[in-house]
Amino acid sequence: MTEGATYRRWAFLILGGALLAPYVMFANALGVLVDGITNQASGIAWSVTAVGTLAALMATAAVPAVRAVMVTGARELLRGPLTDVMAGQGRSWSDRLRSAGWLLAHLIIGGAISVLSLAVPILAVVALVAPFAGPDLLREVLGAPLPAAWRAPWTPVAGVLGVIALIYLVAAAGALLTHLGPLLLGPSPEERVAAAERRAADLAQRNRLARELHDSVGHALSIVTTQAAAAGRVLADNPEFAEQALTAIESQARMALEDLDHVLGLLREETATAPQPTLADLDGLLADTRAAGMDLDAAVAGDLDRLPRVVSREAYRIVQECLTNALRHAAGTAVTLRMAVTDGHLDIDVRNDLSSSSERGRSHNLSSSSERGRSHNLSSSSERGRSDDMAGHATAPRPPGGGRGLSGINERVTILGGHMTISDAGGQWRVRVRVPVGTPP
Amino acid sequence: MTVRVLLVDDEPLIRTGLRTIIDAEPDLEVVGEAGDGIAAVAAVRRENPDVVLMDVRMPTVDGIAATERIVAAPDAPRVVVITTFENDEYVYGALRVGASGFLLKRARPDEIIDAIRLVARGDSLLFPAAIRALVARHGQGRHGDRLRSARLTDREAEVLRLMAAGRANAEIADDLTVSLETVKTHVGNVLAKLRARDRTQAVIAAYESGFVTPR
Repeated sequence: MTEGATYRRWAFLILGGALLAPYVMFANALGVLVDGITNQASGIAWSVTAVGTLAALMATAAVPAVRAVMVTGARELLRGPLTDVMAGQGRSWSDRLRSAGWLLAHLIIGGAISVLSLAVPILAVVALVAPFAGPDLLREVLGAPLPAAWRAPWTPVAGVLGVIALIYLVAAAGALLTHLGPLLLGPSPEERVAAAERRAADLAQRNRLARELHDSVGHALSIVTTQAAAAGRVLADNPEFAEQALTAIESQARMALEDLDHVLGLLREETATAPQPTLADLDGLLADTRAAGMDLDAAVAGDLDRLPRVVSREAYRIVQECLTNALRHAAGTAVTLRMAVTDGHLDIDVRNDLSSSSERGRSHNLSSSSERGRSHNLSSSSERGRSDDMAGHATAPRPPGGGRGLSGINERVTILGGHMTISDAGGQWRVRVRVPVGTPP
Repeated sequence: MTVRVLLVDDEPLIRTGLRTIIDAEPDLEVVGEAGDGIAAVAAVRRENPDVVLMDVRMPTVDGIAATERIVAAPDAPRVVVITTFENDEYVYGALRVGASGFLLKRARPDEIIDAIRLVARGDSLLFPAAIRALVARHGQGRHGDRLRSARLTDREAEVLRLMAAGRANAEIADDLTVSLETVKTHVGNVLAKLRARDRTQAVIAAYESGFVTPR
């Protein structure tokens, strides 16, 4: 009775009563119309009016924007468990049905409370003054003296009790709607799944960034610290070492900055509102890759549109990483991409000939010691990540100079619960990925 | 007596940096380097060092597997894990399989040198607070019965508590007003009963069984 929530919810209930008014007018108009047509006020006419009014109400609730308004209103005035409820898309039929249920409950309960809210205080005032004002009170309204019972000494008490009862009734009705809210306005199971998928993808991305920072920037800063500490110790005795150390510190710090640039770029990309590409954007990716000069033979079997969003999104990135790798390390050779959706799996198979140019790329990378240090570190990190179950891959061939690309692919594959195989048999570099796709939504 | 140190890290620049820092001390000497776990195991056999500074994340055989192999030998050297980040589950893995402690790569040269000396002496725990934090994060509640089945005497239990708190043998002798020799006997008994290779292993067992609560 003293809680502010009760009075906030009261406002919400009165709002329901106010919203009921147009439907009451609609029912009246429809009733007159039906009476006019059937020419008699029968049970059938009454039913037609009721069904027609209900249909109008449901039609209103079926509009997704109305659901959004209802969610906002309920969240602001009812609060409680509704505080966390966000307006979803509201486009599914189950959502629309739930919206209609909510509107109906709001209007009927709100309507009843509104009528009582108008009547009870007036009656209470009358009851309070009736014993003292005499029989002429309300003669104008009633056209007759106030009944004797109203003038009994206990009526003021009844009036006060009536007001208290109303407040408790309002509190109960408000609590009922607040309880009902999450059921009817909350996210549907599909929306919950989508939200969970988004959270999982966010988490995966955060882990990926953390690992990149760990492997690149953390590694480089460790070297910088150790080398600087050592140089400081032997500055006078061994200036040659100190000079070498300074060179190493410079190049490591530079690489760390480059890596930081890259990771920060990814972070900015994450916070940008641009939607993440999925396999629906595959054609664009293939066109871009061909435009970059790749001789690409691509074929897709099965329906990519039916894949879960998270799979589709990660698969797009996997294909993108594979093609980027091929572009970087096997420029000029033909690349074959095969994708297939078959009973519960998505297979991605990317092949290219190990060309002489890629061999050159490898020897070039190995000759640069700092480059080797870094790519080595990055590629080995992905192996550590799966050292338990994929220890055999520790000796698997690496792509020429590759590191980040493959570890990135492997990480995405791991997130999706799939597996990746890499081979260079028969003069062909081949990356095969298989991920489970579960049951399509 | 010179402490003989073996450096294991896949990054040559880390090795040269550590070597320079360590070799600048008259009582420490780097006797070898290795770039991965396999080379580390071979180098331990060849050089018979007192202390191994071991990177955990390495290609082929990583630091955990290498530590396990190295400490399995009789009269094995003590292994100190070196790591970029404190919050690293690999470090805990290495401690569980027998490393004597861990050291951050960003530690000051003095800290690195002191850590090597302390571990070589073996009479005190390296960075007790860091080990406590590590166990609190990773290993609490595992192996609850290991300590119960060890059946420590009250005195031994007391000694184990003080070991976990990072007290050196001499300090424990002061705390309990007994002789250093008595403390050494107690510590030896605790290690034997817990089948622990050194006090780090014993303290981890004490934390993991809930005998000592990390806070």
